[in-house]
Amino acid sequence: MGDKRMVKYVIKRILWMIPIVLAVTILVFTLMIFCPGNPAEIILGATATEADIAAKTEELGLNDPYLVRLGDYMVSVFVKHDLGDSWISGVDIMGSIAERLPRTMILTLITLFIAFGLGIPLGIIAATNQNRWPDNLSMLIALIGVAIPNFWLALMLILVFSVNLGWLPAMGIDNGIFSYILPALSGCMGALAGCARQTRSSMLEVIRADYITTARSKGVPERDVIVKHALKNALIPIITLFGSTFGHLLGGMMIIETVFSLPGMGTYIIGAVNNRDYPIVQGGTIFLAITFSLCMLAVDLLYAAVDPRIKAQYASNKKVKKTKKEVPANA
Amino acid sequence: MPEATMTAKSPKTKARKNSEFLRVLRQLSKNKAAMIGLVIFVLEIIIAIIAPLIVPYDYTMLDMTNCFATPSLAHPFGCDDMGRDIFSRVLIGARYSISSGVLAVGIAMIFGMAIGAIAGFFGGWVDNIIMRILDVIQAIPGMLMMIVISAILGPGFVNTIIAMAFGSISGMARMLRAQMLKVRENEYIEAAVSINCSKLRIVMSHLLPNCMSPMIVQGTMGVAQAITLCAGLSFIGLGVQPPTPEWGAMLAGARQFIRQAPHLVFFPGLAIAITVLALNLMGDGLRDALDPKLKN
Amino acid sequence: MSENKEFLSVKDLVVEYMSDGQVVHAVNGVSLKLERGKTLGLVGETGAGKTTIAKSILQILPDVGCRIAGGEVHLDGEDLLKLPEHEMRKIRGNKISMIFQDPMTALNPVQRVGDQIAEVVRLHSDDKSHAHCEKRAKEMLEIVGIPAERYYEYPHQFSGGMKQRVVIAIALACNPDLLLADEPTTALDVTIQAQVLDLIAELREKYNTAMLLITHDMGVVAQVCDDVAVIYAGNIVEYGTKEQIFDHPTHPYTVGLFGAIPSMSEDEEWLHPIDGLPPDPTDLPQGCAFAPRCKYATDECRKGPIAVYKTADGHDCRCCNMNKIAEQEG
Repeated sequence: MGDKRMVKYVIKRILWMIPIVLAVTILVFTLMIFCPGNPAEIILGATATEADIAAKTEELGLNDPYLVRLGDYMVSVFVKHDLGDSWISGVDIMGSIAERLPRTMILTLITLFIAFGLGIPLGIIAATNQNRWPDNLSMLIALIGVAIPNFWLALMLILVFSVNLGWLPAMGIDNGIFSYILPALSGCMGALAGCARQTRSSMLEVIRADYITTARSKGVPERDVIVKHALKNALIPIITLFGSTFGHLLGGMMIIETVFSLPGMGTYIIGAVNNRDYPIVQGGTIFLAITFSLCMLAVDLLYAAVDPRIKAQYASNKKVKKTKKEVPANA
Repeated sequence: MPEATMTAKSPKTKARKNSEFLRVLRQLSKNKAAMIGLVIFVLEIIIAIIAPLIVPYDYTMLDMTNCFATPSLAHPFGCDDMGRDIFSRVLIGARYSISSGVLAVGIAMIFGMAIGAIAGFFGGWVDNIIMRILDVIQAIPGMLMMIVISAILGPGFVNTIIAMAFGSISGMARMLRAQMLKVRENEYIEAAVSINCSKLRIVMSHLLPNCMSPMIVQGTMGVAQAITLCAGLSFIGLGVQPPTPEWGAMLAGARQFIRQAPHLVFFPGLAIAITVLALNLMGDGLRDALDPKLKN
Repeated sequence: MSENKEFLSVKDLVVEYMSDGQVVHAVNGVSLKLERGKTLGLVGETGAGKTTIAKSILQILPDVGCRIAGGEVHLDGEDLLKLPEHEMRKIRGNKISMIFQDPMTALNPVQRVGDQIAEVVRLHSDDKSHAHCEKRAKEMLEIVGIPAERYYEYPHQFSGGMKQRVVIAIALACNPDLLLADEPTTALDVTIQAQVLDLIAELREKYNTAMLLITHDMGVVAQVCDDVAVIYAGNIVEYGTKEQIFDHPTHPYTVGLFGAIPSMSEDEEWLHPIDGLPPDPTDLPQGCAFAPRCKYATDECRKGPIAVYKTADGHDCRCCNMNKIAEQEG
């Protein structure tokens, strides 16, 4: 009976994405209007005559009122699934994104995997050895991890592993998975540090909870106390972090991609900004926003899987947002 | 002010504010790591202010005989591709990098808190509309938002600050509102309401002051983040442009020479890392001092 | 092995922990004995070290800075403090189990209640099959008065009293010889308190379980206990059978405790609280810890350690003025 309402909640949550996506599109479209430069001039280049430019302006519909242009764009995006063509190269943007988005996603996921795969154990080690040397060492690593700018770390890694040692490629994606190692390593440090710190603090909170004493009093081996009882409770705030880190990385990876000339969404959008190829910026931003929202939805649902209390709230249609924030506090 | 409102004062009243401030300072001074962070950051600010007086060379001076000179006594950090002294440029760069971080966070704080406070103050449909707008803005990852804004405004120091501030306003607003909702549960707010305290007064003298602790911590950490972001934007060519010696812009200029002269990329990055580290140490210390509940 | 005699004996137990760089003297040389099937009540104010004693017996003190500084804990002639951790683990939840004060937080919020009972069964039973553990857990639920079909629910779906029943089911699932009950009814509604106490009594009788009952409620002591130990500042100040303690309270602190209970038979206008506060456990006074609050205190009380005096068979009192006090009080 609760499951039925749960399904209803999920559907509601997915439906809520529709207005968000529409609004993001409107927002990005509107913002891009303020971009400097006349599109017709950008497309035709510096040599174009005034008459050519006027004709192109008319052809692009730039003389139409804002609402008409917005409507045209929305129809082309959501009905025809067409984000337009690049002004500079004339290549279809949707096609380019289809080619590049998977690379960015792979890079982001590898990075997330490394960050949480190392960050969670590091946090657990720190929490179970509170104020002893493993704790201090882990937290020092975490501190340095947040402090080092990822693009600088990327340069340093290139220096060591590509230039000096020659072990790993410094650019491109021609070497399969090896091409992703350095970008992922340079991108993961901040996330790793954040994950380790969050894991440590929520583990410390959970370890002191009465139900951990109960578990010990039952004769549960210490390793199981940590893994089965403490970690599952401590995971709840870590899942929140997982979501926000994902969003962060999706943005942060853009710089890393340019350092490694990795042809993903980052190089695509940043290159387009530098070339004033605005339809790409527009389409790319909308696409990344949708990807991001979908992942946030996944995180929200993951919550329910871990914490039965939240599942109960979802199912009973109570104000989810507020109580969700309170849960880590009393967990 | 009616007499009665005095009885409903929030925990941090004027009379206690002083001692509260002292308590935080005392707590902070006991925290070694935080003090190290504070000392480093204060030193950096002093250096940034007096940089023009203490730099050994003019940071714009070209010296073709010293192109790519490696670190030496005369040039502690070496020279760049134009023979400019990197040490001097890093010192001058502190002015740009630190002020960009502080200004961006300052602006974001003011606007973010205003929006958050309006949402929290009016509640109801105003709150609803503001939150939905923030939902939409936050559906775009922060870095991407900043890149889009930079694209619109074009490069430059001031534009970069505006882009960064704009990108962080929504986060600040949301945080303040969440904090206000939490504080509103407290009984002293109920007490204030029960004695007919005006809504504006409740927000200004009871809600906001009690929301400040996490905002201050967030602000400190935010400056660190903003410095990295500003450097990042400059690095990809969207923020501050070379030859301005902002650290990220220096990295951008030096990037192509990484094979022949790695010291060009090493020192500006190190400067960013140390600054961010100092700010994070301070932020951690502040959080522990301001909110004993969060302390482990 | 002596059946029925000295089933549990604690000797000179000392527990300390570090807090903000200071040593907190939580338990200072406590000795007590418990026979099979009997109940010993540990009575005292909050912070007197009662819970620490129970947790020391099970060795589940929090890791950080907390240590058992001395003493022995014998169960069936075996010193538990000398057992290696993996041996001790076989005892926890099996031979000795514990009921906690606050049922609201004692259950793991993300685990089904049934699984939490089944877990202790699986740990200590020879038959570790899922079917057996689940069957036993359901049995235990029924025994504590919860329908077996609620096995699959989570703690947040239970009321406080129900949760405490689950905690009791966990504690008794392996038929322990000794039950440590740490204020099992304090956090519950008054109406539920009696039910829970009755349930514990009934189950103990069935399995002949000994119990160490920690409480600050004299009423509960009167209802449940055979023997009583009064704890003050980490030390036992008076020890005897329930009748001895209730009929002839000897230590001034015990007398004070009874003075703080409203009497139904006499028409008293005021309760008689004990003046002052318990001493700072980081800085215990020399001599008798109660001396600063004791109206009979003399110089002798403030000097060295106070010896234990016997008033009757099995009735001990840690007070050097107790004869004088007895005369005064008549």
